[in-house]
Amino acid sequence: MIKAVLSGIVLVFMLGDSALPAPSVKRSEDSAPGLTSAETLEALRASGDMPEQRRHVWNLISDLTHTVTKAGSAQPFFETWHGEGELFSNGAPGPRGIRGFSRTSDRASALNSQTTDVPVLTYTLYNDAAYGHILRNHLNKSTELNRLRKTGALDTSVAGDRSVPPFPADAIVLKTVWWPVAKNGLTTLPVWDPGSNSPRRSGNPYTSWQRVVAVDPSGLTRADSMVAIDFAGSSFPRSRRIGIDAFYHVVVDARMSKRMMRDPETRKAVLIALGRPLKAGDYLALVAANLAAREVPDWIWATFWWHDQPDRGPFAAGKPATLEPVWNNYLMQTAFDAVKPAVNGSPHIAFNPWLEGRFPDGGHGNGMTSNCMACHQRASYPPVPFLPVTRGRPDPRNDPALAPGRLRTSFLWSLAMHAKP
Amino acid sequence: MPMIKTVLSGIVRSLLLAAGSAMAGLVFVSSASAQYSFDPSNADEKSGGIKYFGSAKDDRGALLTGVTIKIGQELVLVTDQQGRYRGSVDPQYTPDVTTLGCSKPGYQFVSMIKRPGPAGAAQQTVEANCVLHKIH
Repeated sequence: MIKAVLSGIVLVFMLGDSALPAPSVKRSEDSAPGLTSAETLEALRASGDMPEQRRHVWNLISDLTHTVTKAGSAQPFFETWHGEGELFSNGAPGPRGIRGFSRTSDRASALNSQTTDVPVLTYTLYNDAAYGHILRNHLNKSTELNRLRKTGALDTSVAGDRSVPPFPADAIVLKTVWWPVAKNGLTTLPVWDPGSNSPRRSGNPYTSWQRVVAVDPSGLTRADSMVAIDFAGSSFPRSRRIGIDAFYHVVVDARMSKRMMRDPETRKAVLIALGRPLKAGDYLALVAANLAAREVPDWIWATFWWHDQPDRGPFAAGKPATLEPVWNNYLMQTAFDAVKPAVNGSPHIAFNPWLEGRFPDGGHGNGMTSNCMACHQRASYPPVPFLPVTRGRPDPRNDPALAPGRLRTSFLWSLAMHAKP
Repeated sequence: MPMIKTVLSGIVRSLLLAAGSAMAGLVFVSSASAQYSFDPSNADEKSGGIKYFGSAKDDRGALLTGVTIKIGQELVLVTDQQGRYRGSVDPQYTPDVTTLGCSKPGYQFVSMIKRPGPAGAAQQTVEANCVLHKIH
C-alpha cells in the first residue's frame, strides 16, 4: 500500500532534519510565506490544484536556475551541485555541474560496440543536501544497500520492505539533458510538438519527432530565417534557425570532451547530433531536465524542456517574473501525485519528451502517458527494470518492484541501479 | 513534416553469406546497466532478431565515420571508425516493412541500398549501404 498523505509524518521528517546542513535553495522573493510548507504541498497534492502546483514548481525552478557567482564564475545555482560521477563512478571531486562530467562505463568493450537505442546526453546533479545524505549513509554502495535491506527501518508504504534513511527536506536531484551544438555551422535539434507526434507502440524517441530547428552559434542569427537541414535520415526543408543564446548552454573544453567521449551512450548521442566526436569549442545546450525535490516524503516531481514557442500551450502557464530570461524558453509539467488530478478517469500525466517519450508501450501506454511518480515509486533494490510504463497507483500483486523483502530507495532509481560494489 | 529518404532494395546473396559468416563472432554488448536507458532490441536481452549491417561512404567511395543509420523511426546505429555499422533488432523490423535512412551533418543523401539475406536462413540478415555527398 502506497504512502497515504500524512502531514504529521512530514513534520516529523522535517524536524528530524534539524541537524542536517542548512537548506541550500534560495527561495524566490515572491514566494508566499508558507506556500512551500510540506503541509501546503500535501494539500495541493490532495486537491490536484494544478495552477498552484505549477506556481510552486516554477518558483523552485527560478530558485535553482538563479545566477550565482562562485570562484569568480557566474552560473545557474544548479551548476554548483555535485555530479553523479562523484557518487557512482569514483569521479574525483572537481568542477561541479555538467563541466565536471565524470561518468565512466565499466564496459570498456562497449566503446566499439553497437546498440540500436537512441540515447540522450544526460548527467544527474545532486544538491549539497542530497549528496551529503547519500555519502553519509553510504547509499551509493551496494554493500550498504544489502545491509539495509535486512536491517533498515521498515518501510511505511510497502509491506515487508525496508527503506533507506529519509532524505532531508531540502534535498534536490536534477537530471539534466543536453544537446551538442557544433562550434561552427548549423546543428539540427529535434523539437517536441505534442500535437504532431502520435503515440507509437515502439516509443517516440527524438529521431521520430516531426519538426527540427537549426541551432546557429554564429551570433548572426536572423530569427525568422528558414533553412533546409537533415537529421537522422530525414530531410526538413524549412526549419527555423535559432541562436545558441536561446538555450542555457556551456562551452565544451578539452577535458570535458575527452571525458564525455569515454562514455558509450554519450558518445553515441554526440555522433547522432554532430556526426563526429565532441571537440573543445563546441557547445552543450540544455534541452531538458527532470527535477525531484524532497519537500514531501514522496518528493515533488517536475520536468521541463526547451521549445522555440515557449509562451504557448498549457506547459507555459504560470511562469513567474523571477525567471531569468533564458529560462523563459522552457516549458514545464509537474506531478505531485501518480493519479491526481485525473482527467476523464485517467491518471495524471507528466513526462519529458526527451527522457520518457521514447519508452515503448508495454500494455499501459507508451512514455507519452507516463508520470514521474508512477515510475519512481517503484524504485527499489536490488534493481528491477523501470519499464514497462505503469500508470496510477502501484500494483503490488503484479509488480516485482513492490515485492516484500526489498529495500525502498526513496523514489531514486539512481541508488538502486548505480550503487557501487 | 520530414521527407523520408528513398530506400532502394536489391539482392546480393553471395555477399551476405560471407558477411553472415563474419557476423557469427560478433558480440553485442548489453546496455542494461546503462544510465537510465533502454534498448528495445538489445541482443543480450533477446535471442534471435534480425542483424542489420553495412557501411556508409561518400560518393567518391571513401568510408564515412559517424553516419547515423535509422531503422524505422526509433532505432539508430552509427558507423564506426571504419565506416561500418552492425546491430541486432527485434524481428518485427523485417526489411520489407522497415524504412531505412542515413545522414551525417555536412552531407547530402544520395542513396541507400538494402539487401535482405536469404529467405529461410537461420539468422536473418539485412545489409544496407549508404552513400552521401559532402556539401561543405
